[in-house]
Amino acid sequence: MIEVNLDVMLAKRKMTSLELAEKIGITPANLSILKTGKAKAIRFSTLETICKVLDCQPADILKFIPDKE
Amino acid sequence: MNKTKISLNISIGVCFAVSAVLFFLIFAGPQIFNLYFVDFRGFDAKGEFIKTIGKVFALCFYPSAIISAIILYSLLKLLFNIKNGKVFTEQNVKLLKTVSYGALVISVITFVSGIYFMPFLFISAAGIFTGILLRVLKNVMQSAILLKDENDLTV
Repeated sequence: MIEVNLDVMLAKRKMTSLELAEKIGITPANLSILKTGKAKAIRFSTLETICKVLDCQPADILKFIPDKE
Repeated sequence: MNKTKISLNISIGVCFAVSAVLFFLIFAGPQIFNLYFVDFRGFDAKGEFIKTIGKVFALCFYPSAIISAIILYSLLKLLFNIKNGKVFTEQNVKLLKTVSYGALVISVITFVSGIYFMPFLFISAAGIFTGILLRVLKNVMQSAILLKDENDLTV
């Protein structure tokens, strides 16, 4: 599965999730879906804006974890 | 957006009107039956034919009326759900399923009655088509729910 790790990057940039949601133009509810791992997909445009706002690479916020079977 | 609202209100109005007609028919059924077969067609009111056909009509009509009431209730519930913005939900799929099965059950009842009184077979055919149509609509709705879930969880 893919883990979304926004918290670390947010802490580094000293930004709250509410601020981030405002800056990338999505609702706080949708950002919460993303942060809690309920999201099924992320648009490239959203990813792009997140990277732009947080000044980072996608690899900094997305992490691949192999499924345990 | 406004047109959708008007169309929705028309549907709700039609549903209520049909409910009123159904309510009227439940009480006026025997009178209408007599008016047509005895006064208009000139059958003997105490004859064998009227007795048999009357039984067939009653046995076909009253169960169908109950099912029709269930169908109308489901349709109204569905319409009010849509009005409240809950369109693609599991509950609506269930309601459509109820309506479709209702139509099919009515078509079975009228088919059996059709053995005694041929014109009922036409109602039966109409019922089968309505049932199938609504089943397809139900399948469409189910696929739409999957799409909506996917869309809702895309950030």
